[in-house]
Amino acid sequence: MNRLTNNKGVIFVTVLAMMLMFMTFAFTLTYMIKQDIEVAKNSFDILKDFYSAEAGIEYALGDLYNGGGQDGTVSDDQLYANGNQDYYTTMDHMTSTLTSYSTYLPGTYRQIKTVVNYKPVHAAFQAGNDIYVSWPPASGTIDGSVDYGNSVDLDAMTVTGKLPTQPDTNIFIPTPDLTPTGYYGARDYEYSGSPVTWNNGNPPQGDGGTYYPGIHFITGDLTITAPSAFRLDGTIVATGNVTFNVLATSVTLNPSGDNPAVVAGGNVSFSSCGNLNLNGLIYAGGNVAIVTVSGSNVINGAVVAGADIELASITLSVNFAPLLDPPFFDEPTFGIKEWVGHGLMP
Amino acid sequence: MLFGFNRTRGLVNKKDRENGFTLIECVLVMVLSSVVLTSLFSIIQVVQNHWWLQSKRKDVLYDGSQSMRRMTSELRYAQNITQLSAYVLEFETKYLLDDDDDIEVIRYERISAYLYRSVDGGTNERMTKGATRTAFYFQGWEWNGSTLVQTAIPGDADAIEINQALTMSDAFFGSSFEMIEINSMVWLRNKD
Repeated sequence: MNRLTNNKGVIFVTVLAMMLMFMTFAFTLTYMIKQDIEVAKNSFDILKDFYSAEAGIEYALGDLYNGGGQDGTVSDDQLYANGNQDYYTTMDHMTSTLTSYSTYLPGTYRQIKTVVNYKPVHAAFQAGNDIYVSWPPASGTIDGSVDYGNSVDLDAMTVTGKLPTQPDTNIFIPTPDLTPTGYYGARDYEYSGSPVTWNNGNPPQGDGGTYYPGIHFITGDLTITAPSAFRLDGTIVATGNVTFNVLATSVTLNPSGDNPAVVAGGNVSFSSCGNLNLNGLIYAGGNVAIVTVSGSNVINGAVVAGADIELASITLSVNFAPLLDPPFFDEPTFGIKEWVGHGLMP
Repeated sequence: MLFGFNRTRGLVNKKDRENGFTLIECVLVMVLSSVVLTSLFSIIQVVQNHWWLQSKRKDVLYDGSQSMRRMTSELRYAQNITQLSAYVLEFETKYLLDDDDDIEVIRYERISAYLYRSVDGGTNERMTKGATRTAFYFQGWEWNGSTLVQTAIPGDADAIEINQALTMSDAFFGSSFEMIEINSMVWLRNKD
């Protein structure tokens, strides 16, 4: 009999083929189900990650609002330290950015970034245009960051914080409220003239026994000259320029609380002085010039200028106070601007 | 063999014999078919169960994300926390997206295994849907300097922590099956 016309074993082959087909179908289905489960699991994990990361942002925002907040990592997993859900949030004062990174291990991550502009003063030196050292050169240390809108040249001065190589085109320079709803309304003493001059170094109003505490508000310019040590435990606020040209052996400003040391709608200059001891914010809507100052000079606070900051012939030590939050300065509001990055662990 | 057997015609000549299946062939086909059909049915059942499971997972995911989103966004507008316990969170706000500036009281409460929300003592709206049960608690935190410490006093709370564990309520897996646990915190930035 011819083998080709022999039907024996046809059923076996047919059944084998069918079983093979069903097995392929089953394996394919199993694989698809497994993939679906993975996708569903990742969706859950990413959802967890998002709310965990958001908790980090919330923690950091609250921390900032309550006076905390340094550069670097500001929060951890203290709330959710369960071993596999973790977040950490970092803060960058220069860019006013909080970044919160949450992971669910093993598996997924989510990163949220938010720009907050939480404080009006965010750098030791903050100038809308230029920061520079002129002749004779200055030296010393700036313990903090420097932010500028156009150019920077600090010559031999050391900056321990961030010194960006590129100008900050979005630099935020706060504006003080000098109206009755702001410093004028909060004034303790008021002066006017053209200009107002404190020739003997002391303000004509206030308590000399306690170094004239309070807010001294000047409508127009103020010039201070004094033969010897000058000390004021209050705040000078002027709508125009404030000039320290005192030939004094020392200039000490000790404002109370978060109040600034000097606020000027125009320029602020210290020249021909000695031994500056400025404990607070020095703010000028225009320029700040600190030139030809002898002795040991310290600023515990920050210098903010709407235009330029100039240093010359001075040995200066600046200690940035990151918690500086002076009253009557405008602050941008909090708000999450963007969130970026989510998915499987890289 | 010269003759074959035919049921109606008895012994027939091999030339006249009709082609067909033998009894053994029929039995074999029936047995194998039943095996194949059983396998096929099992596969269909797995697919059906999986579809059911994925459907429930979708519900859980939707419930979890919606309820957390609503709670966290509304809490950001909270001005005054009036009640705070593990299962009840009540606060006042005038920032609801409605047409007036009236102060409204929003209450989140876990009753039995479900999360409910009400406004100004109105009707309880169930936040988690049919298939989803939720076990959650609220925890108040207060800033003490730069450190957060727990507080049970509503007015002292500077931040609210929300922990929510969502499970499927059907006894598909014999008992409730935990699907997702979401934790977050909201800083009360609009607190009076």
